[in-house]
Amino acid sequence: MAEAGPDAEDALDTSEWGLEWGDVSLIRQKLALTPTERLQAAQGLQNKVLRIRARNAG
Amino acid sequence: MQARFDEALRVLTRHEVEFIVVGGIAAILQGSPVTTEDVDVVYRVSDENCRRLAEALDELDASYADPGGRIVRPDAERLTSSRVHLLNTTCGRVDLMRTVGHDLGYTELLGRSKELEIEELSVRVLELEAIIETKEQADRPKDRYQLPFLRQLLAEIRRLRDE
Repeated sequence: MAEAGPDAEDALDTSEWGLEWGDVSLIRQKLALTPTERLQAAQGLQNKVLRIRARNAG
Repeated sequence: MQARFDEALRVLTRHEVEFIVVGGIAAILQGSPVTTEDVDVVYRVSDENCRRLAEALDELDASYADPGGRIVRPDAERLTSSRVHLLNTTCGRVDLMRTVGHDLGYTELLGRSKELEIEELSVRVLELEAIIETKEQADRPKDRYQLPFLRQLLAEIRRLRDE
């Protein structure tokens, strides 16, 4: 199979971006999860941020 | 301090607090990709509920986020009289409000909320349409930047429903 070049990348379906640039693909990923999984993902991300902040604190 | 949003909700529920999750966590539970640092909650302002809420906050070792570093604890009297409580807890930041948007309190929001299952918990959250409305009404920069994602999410949910 031929490797996709820059032209193909440029032709990505722009409908993946909403009218106000809300990322539809990311929203679809989240909608595929249960509420519990969504909460755990948000919590996990926030805890990573907190760890990075603590590591870099003065 | 670790963010344990689920545990904060579990403690409030265990103490039989009447509350509605609003803001970022309510949106995340319904599919929003925008992250948040706190749990925003609107609570019923009654003597009994504020007493239960104060007990739950005691279990969460809550204190006001005071820039001066003073340790001030929420109590039932403060919860009854003050409108906003920005709290640090053992589960991370928890913000309690008597109202959101255009002065919409627990009673007004109840009909625009729904129960969601989070593990063994049943938690009442504000519906996405109402979250968008309250953020439009609040109109702070942090609300404005979330709105395109929330509107897109609502459009996607409606599209999937209509398929």
